[in-house]
Amino acid sequence: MSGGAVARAGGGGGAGAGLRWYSRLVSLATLFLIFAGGMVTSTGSGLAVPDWPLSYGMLFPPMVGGIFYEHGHRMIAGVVGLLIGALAIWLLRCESRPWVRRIGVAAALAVIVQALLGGLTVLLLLPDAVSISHAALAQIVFCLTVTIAVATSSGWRMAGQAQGGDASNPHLATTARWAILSTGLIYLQILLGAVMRHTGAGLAIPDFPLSYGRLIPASLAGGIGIHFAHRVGALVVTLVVVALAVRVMRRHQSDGWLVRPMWAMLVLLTVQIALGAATIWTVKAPVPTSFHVACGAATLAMNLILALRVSRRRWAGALGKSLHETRVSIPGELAARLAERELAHT
Amino acid sequence: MKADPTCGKSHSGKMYTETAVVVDGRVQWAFVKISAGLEGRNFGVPENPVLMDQIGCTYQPHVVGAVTGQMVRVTNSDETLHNVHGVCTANKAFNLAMPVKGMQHDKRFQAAEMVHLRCDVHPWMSAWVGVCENPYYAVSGADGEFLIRNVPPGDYTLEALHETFGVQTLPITVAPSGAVTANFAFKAAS
Repeated sequence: MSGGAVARAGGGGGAGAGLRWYSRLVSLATLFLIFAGGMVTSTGSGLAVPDWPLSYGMLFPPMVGGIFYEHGHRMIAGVVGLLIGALAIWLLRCESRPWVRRIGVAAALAVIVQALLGGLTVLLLLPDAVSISHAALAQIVFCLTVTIAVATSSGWRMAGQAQGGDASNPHLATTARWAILSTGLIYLQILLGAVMRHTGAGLAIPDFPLSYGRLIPASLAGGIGIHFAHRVGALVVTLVVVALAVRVMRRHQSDGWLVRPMWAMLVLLTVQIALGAATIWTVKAPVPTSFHVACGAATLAMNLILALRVSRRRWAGALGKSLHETRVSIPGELAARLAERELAHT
Repeated sequence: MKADPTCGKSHSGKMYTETAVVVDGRVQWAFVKISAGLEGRNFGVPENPVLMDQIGCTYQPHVVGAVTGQMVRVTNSDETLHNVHGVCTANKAFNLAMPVKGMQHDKRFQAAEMVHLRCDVHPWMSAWVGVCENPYYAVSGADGEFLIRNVPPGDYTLEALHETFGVQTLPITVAPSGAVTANFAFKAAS
């Protein structure tokens, strides 16, 4: 196999390391963009710039008052959009796995749609549906960049070679299902948070942890219902994430590649609950509220990372098992070449 | 105010919003109008515009009245950018850029309601336009007093609205000659 082919498979050459670090940078930049977007809503600056794509007819308006947050968000979005576009091009040129290239293209297209949604939300004066869609798609774009970062990581490659963990662990399939469930639930909880935020229900219940001094508020009318649903969602997410963490600790405790994101997930979840409380106690002060938005995204990302890693272990284990079964009748060198070729496409 | 140096320069001392201005128990910025008793009558549309200014990073005056279809002119008298964001339910909401000093936007509201004007660049800026179907309205002054002139004789419902203290109504009868006195008493907001 030629050195060029190894580089295209992301086999640890200079281009591979560069792509690894760049994809992580893009993920972090996207997370920062989510925080910046959170600050726009948290400071009530969503309409501080009435026009789009220009700002007061300018590329660079004076960054005063709400314009600092809204136009600042647009500038950061522009940079992140370019970073994602460059990542997609890099993947198209250097990545041998079709599914990774497709995710890069999907991320680039999604960020364009996201920009259009951002413009629409301004021009249509922040209709709830568009604002909520803008928030929802932001999380998907972030998840796509995180997926690319995971798929281009050295850990992913090593896992594909069944290195560093017990790929034959029979509990991987169930753990993968739990991790995927947890990720889906967190995304739904984030959606619920976006609905709550953009329908003005963020303080519909003014106290925490109780709701109007009770476990369940006397009325669930209007915004109170939406807000309470978000709190119930937080409880459900917590239970599922803790159950997942217990499972990882019990069934995969020797696999650091899985245990580390599990701990990160628990820490982020704890911080996220604290930030949710702080949002209420500070009467939606912009900084803790926006950090709550960003931490939600980070929690989602960490669950996604765990789900991807568990799935990777599971399928690498299944592949290794199937190759072991076929190697009986295929010469060793040919089997190795077949394995390399298959793994290059996962 | 510190978020915009221009705003900071306009005011040397502390600034307060005008959402509840009460001096010696007298409420300023209550919008008082005849809400019932004049249905079906056509009063025409005044030609002179109602003026609202963005000056010193505040809206002045805080509350104005206008007849449906009457022009409301918003002017930016500041050296900084503002937007005028109209929050409406019966009329079409709007959000207009006012980046240049001297710039004006004219709006005509076709439905009666209390229109809230905001500036999203400077979130403390707030004003109200009380749009009415008749010209019989007034805004209470710093002494809490209001005057509605030339009301035709009849029985009416007089309504006083305040953004913080809510709504009060009183039935009144305007005789063919003479004045009518109406006193509204708002309760403190909880």
